[in-house]
Amino acid sequence: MIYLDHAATTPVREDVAQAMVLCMTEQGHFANPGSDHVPGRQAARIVEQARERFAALIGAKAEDIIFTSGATEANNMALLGGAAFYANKGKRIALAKTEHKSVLDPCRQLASRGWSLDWLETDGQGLIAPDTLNAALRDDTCLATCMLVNNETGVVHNIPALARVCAEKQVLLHVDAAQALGKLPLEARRWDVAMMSFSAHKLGGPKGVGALYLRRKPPVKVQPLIYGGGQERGLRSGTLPVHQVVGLVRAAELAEAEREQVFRHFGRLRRRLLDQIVTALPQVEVNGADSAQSPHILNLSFHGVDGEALRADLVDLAVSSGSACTSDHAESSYVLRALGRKDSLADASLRFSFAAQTSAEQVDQAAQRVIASVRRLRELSPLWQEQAA
Amino acid sequence: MNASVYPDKIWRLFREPRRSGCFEPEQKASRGRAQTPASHAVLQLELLVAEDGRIDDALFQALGCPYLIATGAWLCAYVTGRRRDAMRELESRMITEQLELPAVKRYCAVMAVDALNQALDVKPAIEPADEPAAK
Repeated sequence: MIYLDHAATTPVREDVAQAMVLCMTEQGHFANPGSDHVPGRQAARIVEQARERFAALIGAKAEDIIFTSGATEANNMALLGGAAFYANKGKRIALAKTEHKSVLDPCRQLASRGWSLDWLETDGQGLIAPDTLNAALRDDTCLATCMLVNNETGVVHNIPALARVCAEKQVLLHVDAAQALGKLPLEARRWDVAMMSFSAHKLGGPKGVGALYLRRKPPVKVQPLIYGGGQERGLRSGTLPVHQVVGLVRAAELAEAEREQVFRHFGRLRRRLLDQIVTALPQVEVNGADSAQSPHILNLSFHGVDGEALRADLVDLAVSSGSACTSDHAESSYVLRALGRKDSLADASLRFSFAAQTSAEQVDQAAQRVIASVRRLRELSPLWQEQAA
Repeated sequence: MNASVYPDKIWRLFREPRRSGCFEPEQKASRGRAQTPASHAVLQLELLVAEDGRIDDALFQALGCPYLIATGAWLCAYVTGRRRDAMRELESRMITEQLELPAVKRYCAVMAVDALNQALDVKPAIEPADEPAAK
């Protein structure tokens, strides 16, 4: 099996797993960081050290960081919690249809409670231009949200430029950076964003932990979604999972230490895979943006094949498809459809995503499998044969 | 068990579909084609029918899901050697049962019968001039 689905999730690194275990067992820092005794205070110190280290990695201060159960919770907290706190300013949110579902769904939930959603048009590559955002923001717009790196196509938004637009109009900008942590340099405070969401399991950390950057200066407020023991400044109750927090921060530190080197590695892998496929196969579309692309993702659409057949035929290649499957139906990617791909082409799309440990040999094998499957299915197709004739 | 989510019978027919392709134009095969709206799925069947009404050979082509490809492959194997008149009686229900098609994939059997009936009704065989150029 060739695993090229690291943007979905990637294995926990050995170093990370070992650091986590040391916070779970009786010999380690298992205590409740909220407890007022020596083991508890030791656990709390580990969490606060981790918070400082994490903040430094994203260009923030420790006081800006709220640990969550993942990017989905961070996105929900930013949007539902932010909307609740700032409802007096107005009940409008600006966003694009290419956002992750953990952004779209909370916004739709707000829409069902009387909020208005202003949909930002993206260009053919899926990017929001600052002028587009500027035109969409109104006096009663309370929040804007924009992902840094798109999870399906890997296109990278110019967040500093979008943040300047928001600052001029006094609109809070939330950024979903789940795919960006460990891949791109992050400067939360310097970019002047209000909130930013992170996940651990996309970069070698564990599932079930993430963080929300919630700017303290000038302060951004949210209403909590979870009430209880008042942890995380009362904004996110629940016993802090020390091992999860340590896993997140250790994984982020390891990724940051090798980020530039791995970024170049991703670029070489992406080019290698793309070159092999488009050299061998006609009528392949690249879903991305050459000028603003995170190289850990390559998304391709294949004309002339059925998406389900293509996914089925690639049985020993683990990649994501342009289809979001639920138990009883498959829906072609709303992100690719928003970019103007028709249903059948969006459905016949594959997302390849790499990790530091991905090798050129794996990429070559993946290319050969994809080329063989697309050729086989096209040869089976009466329409392809007629077109070729 | 295979590594896919498909039943073994479907998987085998999908991965190694025998009798896929087209006959040579000079063989004057009769052709039938069924397709869904917007041509998202297409099933083409070609038959070589002997003068005595026996189907000598069959080939299919398909653009569609593994179930459709498997259905095309199965259909070719089934009709080959049988009499043309008997094949007019073939019903989609029988194909559904034979291939154990799930409810959402029963359209594959309907397409198979449509393509078959079209091919059976084509008389005389398609002239070579109407054929696409050989690959």
